[in-house]
Amino acid sequence: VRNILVLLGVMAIAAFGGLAMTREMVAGAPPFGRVTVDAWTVWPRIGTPDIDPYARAILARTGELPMAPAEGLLFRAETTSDGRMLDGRCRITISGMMPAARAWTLTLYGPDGRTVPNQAERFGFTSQDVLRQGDGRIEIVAAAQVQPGNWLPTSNAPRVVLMLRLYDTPVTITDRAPRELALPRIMQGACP
Amino acid sequence: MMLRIGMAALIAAALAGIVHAASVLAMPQLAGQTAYQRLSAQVPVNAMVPLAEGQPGSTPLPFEDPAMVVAVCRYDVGTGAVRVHFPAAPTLASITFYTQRGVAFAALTEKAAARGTVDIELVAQGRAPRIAADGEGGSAGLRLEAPLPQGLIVVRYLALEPLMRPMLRGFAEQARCTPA
Repeated sequence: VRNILVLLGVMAIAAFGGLAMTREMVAGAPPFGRVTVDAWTVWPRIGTPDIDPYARAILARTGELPMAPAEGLLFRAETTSDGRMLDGRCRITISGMMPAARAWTLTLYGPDGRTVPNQAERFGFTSQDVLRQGDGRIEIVAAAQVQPGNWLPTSNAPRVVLMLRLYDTPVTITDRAPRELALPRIMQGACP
Repeated sequence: MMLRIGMAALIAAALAGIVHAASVLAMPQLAGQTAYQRLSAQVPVNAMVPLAEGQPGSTPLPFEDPAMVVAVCRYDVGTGAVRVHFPAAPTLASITFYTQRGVAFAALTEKAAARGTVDIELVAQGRAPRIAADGEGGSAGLRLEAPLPQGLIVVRYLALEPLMRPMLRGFAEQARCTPA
């Protein structure tokens, strides 16, 4: 009887531990195969048949459809360049040069992947509708209050996610980013 | 006694590892929230349907690019091939093939279009000896193998500004996915 109890205990611990580990590993962004550039993270293999089992499980849970390399590259940012969580109640500035691409879009989402509703019906910018500075740099300000220039409304969402998509880009990333690749910096200030 | 406890702990850890690996691998089959399942209410099988213009909060798929005008086909090649027609628009456009578990296995952009369209025959795995341009009937047709019988084909047209949307919606409405 004691042996059976021990066996049952071992199996219960194994089942609980194994499932808890799974829950932990698939809770957020894919844990493996990521390449980071400044505040941005890209998963080069997520849109290919070589996608790893964790990323597969996460996509099945979220319902997200990955971007294939033939379409372009998708970079995701959940923090500022200095590592603070992006907070839609603050003033978030995205500034710098965009890498070469036929087109790009920069979009703001809530953590659930939905765009943040706002009166201006502005959910992001594209390479065509963004206002550029004289030297070609861009500066986009995500904030709850109206801003001059490129304003991306956050509707005071406490947590936001930025996605930068480079469509039809000569930039290729396999295991590491090319050294010369520079992406816009993300800063955050004026938090309540 | 200590030895027995140590053995039990080792076995528990090994079993936990197996449970973990099995549950991660099983998740794509068991999850009820895949893109394929989310779209099943509004997209019939083997028909291309333009998705409603993204009212914020109502999008069926998370983290889609709201600048895209999108049409989706839920294919089933289990009983026969599916013909896919993708009209190229004067903007950046793409067609991406996913399995029902959300794995992208092929993608093309509008640059692949011959005479303004891309026509692809999607067949079940093992039904096509190779992916090749077949040139039959004078059309530049491509044949593609689907690793799983069911999945999604997503056609996307990039609206660089909102004024382009009605025009691109016209292209999305012309995209087709029909049983061969």
